[in-house]
Amino acid sequence: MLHKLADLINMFNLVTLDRLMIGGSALFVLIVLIFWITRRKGRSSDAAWLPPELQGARLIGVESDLSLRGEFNINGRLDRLYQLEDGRYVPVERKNHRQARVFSTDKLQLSIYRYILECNGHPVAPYGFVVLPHFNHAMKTKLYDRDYVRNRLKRYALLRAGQIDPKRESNGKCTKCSHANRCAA
Amino acid sequence: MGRSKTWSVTEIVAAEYCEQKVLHDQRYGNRPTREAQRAMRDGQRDHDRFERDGLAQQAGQDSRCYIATAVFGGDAIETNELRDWRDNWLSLHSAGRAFIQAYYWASPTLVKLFAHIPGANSVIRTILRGFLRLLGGRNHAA
Repeated sequence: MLHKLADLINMFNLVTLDRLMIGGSALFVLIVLIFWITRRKGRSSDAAWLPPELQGARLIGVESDLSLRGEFNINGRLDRLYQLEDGRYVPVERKNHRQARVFSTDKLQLSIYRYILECNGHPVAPYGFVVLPHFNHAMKTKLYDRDYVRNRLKRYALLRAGQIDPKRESNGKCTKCSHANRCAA
Repeated sequence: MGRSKTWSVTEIVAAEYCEQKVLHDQRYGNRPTREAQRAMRDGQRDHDRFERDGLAQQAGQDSRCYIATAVFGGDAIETNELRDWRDNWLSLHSAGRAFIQAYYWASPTLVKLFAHIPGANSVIRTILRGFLRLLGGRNHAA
């Protein structure tokens, strides 16, 4: 009787194990399929835009929170941070631009991240990348040096303190601005 | 100069776009137009995908094995056997590398999901041990 019971349990275990293995395999196949489909639907994969400079680099940060305390207090979140084999960091930002170009805002943004990293003691390459998924391309951009960024931060501080007159834009940017009527008045 | 105030990089960069807008935002609040809101929504969706891809890539560089670590422990024999299989067999084939990427893409979510299902870890352990037995058999046969 006990032998029969043991056989039954054994058989049950085998059947259960078989089922679990089939179920587990099916789950993994499903995961691979979902992953493959979402990658195909995506506008770009990393392999498509990754520039030669970052091919051997290590991705050390995704949505990295960076902060600086001292003369200026700044917080920011960097899309990606790579580390080259020589130890230097390279900041990367993704942008939805419809034109294949780096805007001055992109360059300043990456340069501020460089400034924060350097002020925190990290070595940073003199360039960064703007990833443009619509073009499957990462555009390399030379970053501003510390003195330049520091001057821009000083100007921003003066602007916010109301100690300097703001520069007004008068080109096409205003059409998208919710304050356009205020400026016109 | 208001040095104690903390600014975001986004705020500072907005001044590059238009300094007057920065002051208007400060005074009246930042109310994006509908067109800008739509662009922001689209941008956020794509941005989330970029983040997920990045996390998957980062996990792929990682020596961890999420599910095995969760159910067996980081230094368990089973976890190390699965790592060996990943590094010495899966990673040598393009389909295997795709599988690794898919695994790292999905496994953090799966681990969180399993944590909420009573008994899930023991089921996963059974599956993985069975799988390792198969691997062992194949390796011995080879």
